[in-house]
Amino acid sequence: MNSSAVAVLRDRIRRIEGVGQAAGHPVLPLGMAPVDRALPEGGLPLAGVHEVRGDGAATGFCAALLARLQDTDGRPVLWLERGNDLYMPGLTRFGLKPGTVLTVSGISRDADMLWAIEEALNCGALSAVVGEIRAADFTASRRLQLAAETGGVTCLLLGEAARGGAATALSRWQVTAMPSLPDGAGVGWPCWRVELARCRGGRPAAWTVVWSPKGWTAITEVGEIESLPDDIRIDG
Amino acid sequence: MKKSHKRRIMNVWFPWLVSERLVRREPELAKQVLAAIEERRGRLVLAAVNRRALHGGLKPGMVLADARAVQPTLQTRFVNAAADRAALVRLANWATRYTPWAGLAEGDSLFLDISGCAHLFGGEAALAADLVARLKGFGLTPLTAIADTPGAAWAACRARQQETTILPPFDSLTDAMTALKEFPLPALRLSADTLDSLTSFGLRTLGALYPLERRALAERFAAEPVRRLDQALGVVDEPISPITPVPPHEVRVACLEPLTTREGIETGLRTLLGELCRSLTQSGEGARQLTLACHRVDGTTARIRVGTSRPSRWAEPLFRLFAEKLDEIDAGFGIEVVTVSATRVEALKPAQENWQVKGGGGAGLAELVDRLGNRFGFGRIARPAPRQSWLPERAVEDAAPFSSSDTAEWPVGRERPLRLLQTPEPVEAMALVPDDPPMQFIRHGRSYRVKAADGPERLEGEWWLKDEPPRDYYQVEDEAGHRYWLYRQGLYGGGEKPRWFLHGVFA
Repeated sequence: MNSSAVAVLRDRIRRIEGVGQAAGHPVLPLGMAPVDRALPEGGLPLAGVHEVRGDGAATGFCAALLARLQDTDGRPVLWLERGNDLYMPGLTRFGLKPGTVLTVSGISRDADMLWAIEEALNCGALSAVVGEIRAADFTASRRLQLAAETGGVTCLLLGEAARGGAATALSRWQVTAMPSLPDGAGVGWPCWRVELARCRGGRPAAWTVVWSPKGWTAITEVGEIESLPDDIRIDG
Repeated sequence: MKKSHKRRIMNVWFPWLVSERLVRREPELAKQVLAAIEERRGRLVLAAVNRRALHGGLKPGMVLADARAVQPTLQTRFVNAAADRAALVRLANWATRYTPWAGLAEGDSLFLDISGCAHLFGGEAALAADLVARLKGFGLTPLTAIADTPGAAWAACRARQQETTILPPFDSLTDAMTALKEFPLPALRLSADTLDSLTSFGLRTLGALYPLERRALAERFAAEPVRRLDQALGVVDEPISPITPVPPHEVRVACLEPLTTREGIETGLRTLLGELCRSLTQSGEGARQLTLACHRVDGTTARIRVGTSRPSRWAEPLFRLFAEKLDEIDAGFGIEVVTVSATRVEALKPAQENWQVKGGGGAGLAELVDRLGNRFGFGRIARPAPRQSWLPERAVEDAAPFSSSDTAEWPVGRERPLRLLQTPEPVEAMALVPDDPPMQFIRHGRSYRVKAADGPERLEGEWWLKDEPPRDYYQVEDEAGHRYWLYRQGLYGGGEKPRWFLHGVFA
């Protein structure tokens, strides 16, 4: 099969899946070749809902995703917090540029959070919305997906536990902390196990992701090492 | 007659306020001979009476014992001046359905500045009839008068004692003097003492004061009679102190049929917002806070308030802010008057209308911020900005969403957590040697073994904040790879045992 026939088929499959996305839908390459290969069109589909599960590591993963998005989309980012503990000096480490980040804190009820996320997605003046939410049922999640598509806004649902969950999100990520990669004595570079648990039009996989001062690097689970910076000693 | 031509003032007098308030509390008193009593110079005297008592020969000022002799069935209650005043204040608030300029006046009465409002209710006579009918519905007996000045309205109300007296606008001072000439002296709003002494000189009417020389009058009776006369005639201005602050912009609509549905309120609200925004445009202002007041048939008022993050005069976004909260309004038996007021305004130049938030956004974002702010509180929306401080919890400040303070730089090179606990959480930690990072710490009964650690980084408050010992921060990593920010306060070997806290988590 030639490559254009494959593209046509892929496009048809996506339409059948009902995401309303055709080829050429904007995606955000993560800049990690093994991860991007597992994603449709070589990147995270924009203007859709993605679930990111996990604790502190998941927050860092979201910050890094937003930072990459900020490079291509100058519109502000809205971060809807359940509590009031997001700390900008720590987020900047993952490249997040705080100048265009707005936060709303203390949205503790899921119903309020869903309302706020939907409002934000509909507004269309944002590049991305992060909503810290415990659970979104099928209907709610479907509404968010529609709002994200309509407003052209990317939505990250950041939650702690993998509890049930909405099947309508374009992708689901599970991010957990791993022992850091030593860069000398003491605490090393942050290391995460990043699992793409589900992805429409992509294929599930898992990687070890290292965050070094140069950005992130993915190591496939089977041990395939790609473009690891020279100065990381993985045997350390 | 100066500018007072345009002013039209209504005085609403409740001559039976005290007894009618008592009857409202105890309806069985309605058919009784009733007096409110108080103690004066060691004797109980009547302070106010109801109509039955008056017809039975009782008058305020009578000694209770004498009154009992005349009317053995007299029922008495002690005067409660505070409650009477509170009732009058509530009535003044109610009267804001007609005009924002509603205030208390002397002698159980209210002043309403109805200039420019009367036409909304079908003219002065119709407005007065409407007001009287409603007040009667509350079990009150109001007497009203409308004139060019508060003093003239007050005088006409006392002199004529009719449900409605309307003095036509005065064309000139002579005209005003003629209109008030026959009014009895008590209609001049004087203190009891002044009135007594003027009466003792044989002065009976306002007209009797006209030929007197003003200086002589002022010397003998102080400034009061002259001032009151000038106020009534419109020679000097008398402002009305409104019961609630009068908003800079207010629009109102009176409904022929009481509104009972949300759709009805929405229609009224849209019209009023359009009107309000035109008025704001004319004055070059934008609203930061708006209040919608729905005056119900039963005399109660429902209010909702919305705020904006920047001055606005666009009807549609403002409407949407209200729409979020409209369900809070219970129409009850119907809403008759709807007002929308801009309770806080700021200057808004035409150039500012096309403002942009840094990095794009625009009006859509401002609207979103307004809606989030009205639901969760504007204080919760922030654009975090760096602040010069060594203490981590003070190193970030919440800039307003649309402020433009982008000059400050975020400090680089220091490891900071992604999440900072609002209140540091006490933990138990064990360190081998002072100044060493902990080997282990216990949080919520769970033990964490520290595999790797960085630190200490000593942080202390600015010298003017030095009310607590410095903190030594460590970044520690447990076996699973979770990274925490701990600090130790106090030093080993000192008087007090150092304490450990968890202050944040890293990614």
